[in-house]
Amino acid sequence: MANIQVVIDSTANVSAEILNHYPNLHVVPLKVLLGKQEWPEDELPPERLFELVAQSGIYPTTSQPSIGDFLALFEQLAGQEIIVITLAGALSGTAQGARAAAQMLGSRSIHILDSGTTAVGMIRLAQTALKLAERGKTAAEIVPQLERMAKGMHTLFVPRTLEYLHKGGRIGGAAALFGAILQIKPVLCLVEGQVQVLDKVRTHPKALARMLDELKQYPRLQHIGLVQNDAMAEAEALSRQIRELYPYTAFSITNIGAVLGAHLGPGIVGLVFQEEV
Amino acid sequence: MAGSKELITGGDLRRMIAGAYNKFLLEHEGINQLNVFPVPDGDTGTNMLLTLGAVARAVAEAPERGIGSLSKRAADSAIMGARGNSGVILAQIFRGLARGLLGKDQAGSAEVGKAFQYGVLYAYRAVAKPVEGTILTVAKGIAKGTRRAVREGLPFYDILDQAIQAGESELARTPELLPALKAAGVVDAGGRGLIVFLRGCLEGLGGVYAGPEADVDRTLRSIVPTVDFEIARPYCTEFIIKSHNISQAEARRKLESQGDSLVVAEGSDVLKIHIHTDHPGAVLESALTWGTLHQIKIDNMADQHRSVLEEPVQGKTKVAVVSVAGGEGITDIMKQLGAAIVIAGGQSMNPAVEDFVDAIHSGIADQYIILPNNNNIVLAAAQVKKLVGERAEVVPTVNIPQGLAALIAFAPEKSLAENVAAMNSRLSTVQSGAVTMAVRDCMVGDCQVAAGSYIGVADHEVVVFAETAGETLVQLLQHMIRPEHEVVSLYYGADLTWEQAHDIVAQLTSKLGPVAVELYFGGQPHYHFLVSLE
Repeated sequence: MANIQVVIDSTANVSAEILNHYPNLHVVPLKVLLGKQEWPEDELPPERLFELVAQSGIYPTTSQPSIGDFLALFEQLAGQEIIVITLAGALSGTAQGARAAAQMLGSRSIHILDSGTTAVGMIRLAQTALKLAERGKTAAEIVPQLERMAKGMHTLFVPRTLEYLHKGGRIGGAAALFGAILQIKPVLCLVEGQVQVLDKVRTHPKALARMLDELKQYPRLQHIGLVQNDAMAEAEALSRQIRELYPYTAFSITNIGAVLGAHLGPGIVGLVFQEEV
Repeated sequence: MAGSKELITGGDLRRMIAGAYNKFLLEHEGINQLNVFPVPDGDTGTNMLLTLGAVARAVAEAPERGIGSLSKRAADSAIMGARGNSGVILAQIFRGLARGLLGKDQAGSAEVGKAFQYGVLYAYRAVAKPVEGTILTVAKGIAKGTRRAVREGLPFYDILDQAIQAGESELARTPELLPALKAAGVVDAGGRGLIVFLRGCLEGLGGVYAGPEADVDRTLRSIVPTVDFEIARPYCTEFIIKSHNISQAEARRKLESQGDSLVVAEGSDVLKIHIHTDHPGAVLESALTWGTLHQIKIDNMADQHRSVLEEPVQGKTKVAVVSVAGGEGITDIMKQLGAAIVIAGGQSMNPAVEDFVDAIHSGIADQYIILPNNNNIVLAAAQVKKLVGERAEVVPTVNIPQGLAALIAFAPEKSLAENVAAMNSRLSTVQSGAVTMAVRDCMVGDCQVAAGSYIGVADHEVVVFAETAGETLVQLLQHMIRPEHEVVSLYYGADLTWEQAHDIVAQLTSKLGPVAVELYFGGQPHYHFLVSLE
């Protein structure tokens, strides 16, 4: 039977190691724009991005992969079942672009899944898809399972600054917090892919503690992914607490890529955790 | 006159209430002086005066003649007009009277005496944890005296006289029952107020008081759906300056002359400006030379005000917060944190129950959360809850920092119950303090502190004093701070300029260790700094 190919977008920030391990895993990059310059996300480390922002004083923007990017990849993989896993559709038009490309090809073997999350959450979905494929499952069997899994995925994050979110226009429900006289630190979450305020506190350490409290609401977890950018000390402190609380749950710390970095700014700490299904 | 009254009529009640109000006009300042705490606090005399004023007004305008219906009228107006804890308790006594006189055209002295006893019972019930040595002790004494006089079959005038005597002997005992009174060398202010009330009733009844009908000043009532503003400077102008080449202090200096209610806040790389001006163009012109302008918002506050008055039901929300604050800085912060209505009041001016009820009747939401933000307003807020039922819940904040902490947890999209739970959970996360000036001599530890010295208050206790506001603030914070505190928020009051406050804080930071110190304009009267540690 035909191989199943899995396509994810670059916001998953998948490591070279995983990419090498799964020859059937492919990445379509989103793009980061700074002034007149543009990079595919996987060619711009976020640290470099923040340096450039500091030098130029310009805030970055991002754009979804073009339909042409998807077309090119789909044509290269023609004749095989393709599962495309994108970041939350409410954050980016990536899922829409993939859908449009699939329609143009008139292909029935391309399945698009809006993950409702991003980063390590997408990697978890992709790995599950690849493992199920290895066991001989068909795309028609795999996709509903991924959909269930995506529903049990929770995404929380604490930005160090609201500037980037505000600049990028993806601030959603947190908009009211920006420009307020009193400094408030929000704990943000994705609800149906949209940025919403989970809670508001006065200090950054309290925000991190509040995020941990939210995690504790879920005793049965399959995986806990801690994501960070330029906040390794905070992330490590948090990871010690998490591992104490969930000694038997799979756990990872990963970095986020330049696109999320462009919207969330440096110093982000987040959790993407997955309920047992 | 003694013995001349066997049947008490509606007319007698009118004269009693007018007499009581008149007596309070003369004596409320003296009652205010009985303040145990050397800080400018909710004044018992003023609160009782204003509560009685509401009653006197309603009774003077009432068409009813019978004592039963008239006392009902008095009770209703007392409940709505109640300010401060003492006002709420006074209102309960009126409720008891109305209950005892229900349906009567006139009443015998024994019946009126019993009605007074009902009043005392109601007053007890209104207080969650009755404390002896307070107004309640005096009320109990009055009830006992009344009972005895009724049993002896005395005429009503004498019953009142006996009640006053019994109340006075209990009042004299209050310092023995409450050490705080003894230390301050005073009797309980609310109890004293009750005696003054009865004396006024007696004088009114006996015709000793012969003044004009009480002229009740309504202007003290102030519900503020929009902050009070100078109509001469109607444009509320707000914007953010990015990449600015000007310091916060400099910007403030340059804008100060262009309007009032000025707030210049520093964010990461931005300055946030808020000003009420008559020339928004001129303000923006000057700001343009300091950096790039963003999120420019200009509102004509006269429109806002009108729209609040004329069409309050626009975009009705599920849950709205009704908060209390004195000072426009605090008011602005509360509004930004999502308080829909901020009633002007607080330490020195306690709003009436009616102010809250009016706010709730504005119809801007289905349900309301009330933040009293002051110890002396909590009871009035609880009365509001009784009046409006499940339309409102009280989160019993006893100071401004607690009110702000609760507001931060407020999420308009969530249900009333969820919000109340979340907001209540924040009350214990914040320690509150204040720097003010002692309004009378007091003791701090073993030291005698003269009126006019700066004092630092933590947890309703005076803990430090010093020559200057700045030194007091340092000592207060050193007293309060714990290793787990991450941020100190300071709200400077109307008595300080921005420069003064900023200078004080600049000297402070080196003395406090690794904690973030944030300074905000509070604009509150009497309190140089409100302090919040989290």
